[in-house]
Amino acid sequence: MYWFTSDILFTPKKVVQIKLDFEKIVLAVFFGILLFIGPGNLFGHKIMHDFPYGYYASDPFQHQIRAEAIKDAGNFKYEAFYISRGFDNIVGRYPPLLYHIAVIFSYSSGLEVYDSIYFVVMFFAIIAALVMYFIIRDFNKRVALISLPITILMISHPVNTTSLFFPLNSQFSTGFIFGHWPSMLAQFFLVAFTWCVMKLDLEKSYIFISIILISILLTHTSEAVFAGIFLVVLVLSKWLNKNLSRRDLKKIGIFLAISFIAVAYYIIIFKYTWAGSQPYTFSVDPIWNGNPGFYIFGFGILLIFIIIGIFASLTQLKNIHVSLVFGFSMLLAGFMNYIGFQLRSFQIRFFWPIYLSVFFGFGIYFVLRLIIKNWNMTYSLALFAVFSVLILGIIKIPGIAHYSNYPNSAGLMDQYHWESLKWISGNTEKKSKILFFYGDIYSQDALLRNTKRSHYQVDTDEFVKSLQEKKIERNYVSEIPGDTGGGTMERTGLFSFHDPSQDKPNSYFFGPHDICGFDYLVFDKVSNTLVLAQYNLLIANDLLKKDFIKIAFENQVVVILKNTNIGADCIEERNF
Amino acid sequence: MKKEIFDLIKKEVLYFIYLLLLFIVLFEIAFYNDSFITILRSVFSIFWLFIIPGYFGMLYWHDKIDFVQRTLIGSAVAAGLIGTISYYLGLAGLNLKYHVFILPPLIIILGFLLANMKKK
Repeated sequence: MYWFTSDILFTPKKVVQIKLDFEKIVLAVFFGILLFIGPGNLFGHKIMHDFPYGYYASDPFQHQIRAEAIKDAGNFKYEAFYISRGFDNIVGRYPPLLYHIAVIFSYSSGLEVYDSIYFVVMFFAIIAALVMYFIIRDFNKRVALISLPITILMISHPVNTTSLFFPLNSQFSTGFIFGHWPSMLAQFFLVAFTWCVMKLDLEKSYIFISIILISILLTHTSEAVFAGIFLVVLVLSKWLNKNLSRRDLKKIGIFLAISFIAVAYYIIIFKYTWAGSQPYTFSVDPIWNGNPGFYIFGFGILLIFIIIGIFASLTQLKNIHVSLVFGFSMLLAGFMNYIGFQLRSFQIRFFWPIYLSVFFGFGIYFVLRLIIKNWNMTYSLALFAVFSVLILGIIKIPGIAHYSNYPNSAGLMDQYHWESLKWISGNTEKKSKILFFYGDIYSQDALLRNTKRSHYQVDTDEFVKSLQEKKIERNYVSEIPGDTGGGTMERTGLFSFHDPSQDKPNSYFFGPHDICGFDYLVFDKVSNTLVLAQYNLLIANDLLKKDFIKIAFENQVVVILKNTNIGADCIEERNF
Repeated sequence: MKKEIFDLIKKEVLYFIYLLLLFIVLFEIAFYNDSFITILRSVFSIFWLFIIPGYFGMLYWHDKIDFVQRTLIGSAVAAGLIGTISYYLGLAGLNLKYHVFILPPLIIILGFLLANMKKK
């Protein structure tokens, strides 16, 4: 179907017809814009980097290193010991799909895993906006085009609204830069799931619906709950409208059965890890503490159109379209933080610009249709252009949420720290024990797993206390950082699991540790808090007084000492 | 091979070439600080892993869904299939490094067979 067709006559003898399909051109340009302002801007307009780029918290490293460990192992049967606080044979309990795609894409593209995993997440988030366009297009192609510009906000950092009424900072990019990657990819599959369910009538549709539902379950299982909510609302609305056929129910039954059989192996692991350690409890959490999340007023003036769209949708209740059911379901899902869904609901809000875009487009269309009786597709195209300009922030109007660029920064990591981490993973014995002294970035402890060795880190509060007391000590309070989400479980049978960390006293994971018992000691030479770097160097210099301690690696930022006489008196305790 | 499927693929190969060129141009603009080789390899990987297997995965429904939507949803289907099969193949003992060569052709063949089985 073409909106506008241009036939061009080249020669009198030969007629060459060039059909300009403006819809495809608009989508291609829009895809290009999202690619440029999303991953383009965030990645410094490079796909390949020398170190993890655009990582702003611990969680991106958590996912990166897990994918890296899977690449090293060749499978995800077990979690690597350096992720699991030194324990071997811990079952791979995270939903595996994102990691596997990232590793395979890394092999195929030649990108490092830290680049491939981030790229995959952002790329599919952009594709989600296009899939949503086609879902809305099935409802009304005029609305679909008007809906498209608001999806830009999904990749904005942060959303700029001058809201006098709502002081909370609203940020969608948290999903990317703080590493909610499995949820982001699962939400792409959630949008695809909606498209698939929309095509339920097609012969053998259960094949592609099953594949997508399996993908949601194996990417971030909690999104399957939201897919379930959408499906229930859809079935109910069809039933109330007397549109629900026995054939529909049969197909739904088939794809649910196929999906649960296909994920049974993983779901058993999930049940004994995540479901056990994070059971549902009722709570009311209006604010996502400690995280820059998104709040509905962050849409600013655009929210007015969304609200109009919501009310206008009520006129469609008879024979309500899938896109509207999906919008309502995800609006509800995003507010389930008020009934105990906590961060899972806040994560859903990262995709609100996509989910609620149908209300935005329908709201504008509904109002204008009251004035304009003979709607022309050109009007939709004009509205698309106007809102694209406003939401991209080319023209900034106070109160209208618009795109904001990412900080011009590499994020937490830098080439010197990355060099030191890679040196440890590539040059130390596999059973080495590493101790990290204070470093500005080490509080985001998942990045330390890039040593691929058992590692400890001094506790910053206790370290500062020792500094204030002007003491050089042999024992510093340290912790074994690691990933304990879902529990560190060994599989002892098909339905039995055991957490070996429960067999250890708490002091094993957090308490005074003898620094002379470590093979390698890592010191940062620079810090935003100068005195902490100076204290680090004071300790390092005292250690170097012993002939069995040598500098093993050094660059402008980090120095790593090697202790060749483990347990020997390596430092003289003193006051300075 | 059914003539209908053959003709369709022959016709849509041209769309793939347009799409590939479009991707290369857009990636070159978005990631202008990267080398052309990196761009090319990344784009080819997207096609090899997601777009081409996805296209064949959705070929069965070619008469009901247009090329663009088949390609978009196909990429989701291919990503899901590759991740899922890779997980289980890995657990079965086949190292992930081989999956990049095995899984896309497997999905292409399965999709093609499914489309060929379709009754007129």
